[in-house]
Amino acid sequence: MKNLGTILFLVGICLFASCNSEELAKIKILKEEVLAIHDEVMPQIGPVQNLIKQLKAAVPKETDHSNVHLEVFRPRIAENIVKLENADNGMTDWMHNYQPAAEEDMDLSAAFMYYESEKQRVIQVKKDIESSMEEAKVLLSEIDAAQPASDSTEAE
Amino acid sequence: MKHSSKHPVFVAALLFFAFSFVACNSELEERELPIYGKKDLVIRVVDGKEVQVEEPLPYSEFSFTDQEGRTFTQDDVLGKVHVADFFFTSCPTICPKMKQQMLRVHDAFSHEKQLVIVSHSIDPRHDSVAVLKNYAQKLEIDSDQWHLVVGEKAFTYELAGEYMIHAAEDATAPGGFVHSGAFILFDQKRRIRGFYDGTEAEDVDRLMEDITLLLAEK
Repeated sequence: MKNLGTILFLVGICLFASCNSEELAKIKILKEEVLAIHDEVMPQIGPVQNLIKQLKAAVPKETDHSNVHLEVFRPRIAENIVKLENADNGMTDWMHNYQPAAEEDMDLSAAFMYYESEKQRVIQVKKDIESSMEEAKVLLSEIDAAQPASDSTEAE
Repeated sequence: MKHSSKHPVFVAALLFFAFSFVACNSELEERELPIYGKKDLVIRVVDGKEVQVEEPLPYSEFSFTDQEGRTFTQDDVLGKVHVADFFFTSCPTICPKMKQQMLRVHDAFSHEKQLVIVSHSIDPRHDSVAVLKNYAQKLEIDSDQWHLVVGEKAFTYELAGEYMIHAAEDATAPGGFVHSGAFILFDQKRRIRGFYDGTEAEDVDRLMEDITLLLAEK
């Protein structure tokens, strides 16, 4: 009976350990997924800054009356800059709040839920960045197309 | 007679090692670091004559604030060797490695007044001067040697782009080089002389050798 008890105990430990290792493996994969998305987003921050700069430069000068037809773009430019800045802030805020070290104080299921929610958050950040960049590019090309022909200095 | 026949071999061996030692050392001294950067032809006066010389285009002037609230500009690096990187205090991935490696550089050159380390924050939203000061204090670094600087985000990215675009000449670095963990080595004339992976100890070993080389140059 004692032996049976020991055996059952040991089997129990093994089962528990393998369950745990399965959980740990899932968490590890999840963490890697989170960081992979982070790695995809980081290279976009430079281009986001560049698009904001281009949009600011595209704002029609108030004193330039020849550009009255570009006035229609003013509110769209302002709106898009806000979207880009919010998306950028979204990423830095996410990184600032991301706390993988907190995992040590969590049990496995809490840790799993934590990384799952962080993954969803960073996916949203990525979507916001991509959509605001896409809008900016479309807007900039519309503005470019609307420039009067005499402004073009390409003919040399 | 037996003793004297050994002497010539011994002396020859000694001479051989001495020669190799001197040759190897002078090889090291003659090693020159490349100069990165888009170059332009400029006229310089050499020995009283006007000569066309290739020089790298200068980088933008800058004005940041360091962890002690001091203004930090290009004048604070000209005339000295400096190492630059781009980081932020709440970076979840590569920054801990970069921090560890930069600490090695800081500690190895701790009394060297001619070396400056400049870590540029790319997250002014969170990295205020107070946050940078706290971060510096935790690292126990010498704030006169290692400046954690912050400024306007768009400008910081532009400056990083000016520097890093040359890293792509060598490596197949994907986009996102601004925060790729690169350490950049500048000479006393603010010319880029090397790029190193700040997350790799071996590459930082190479950086420290190159710093020593530049410090020895007049």
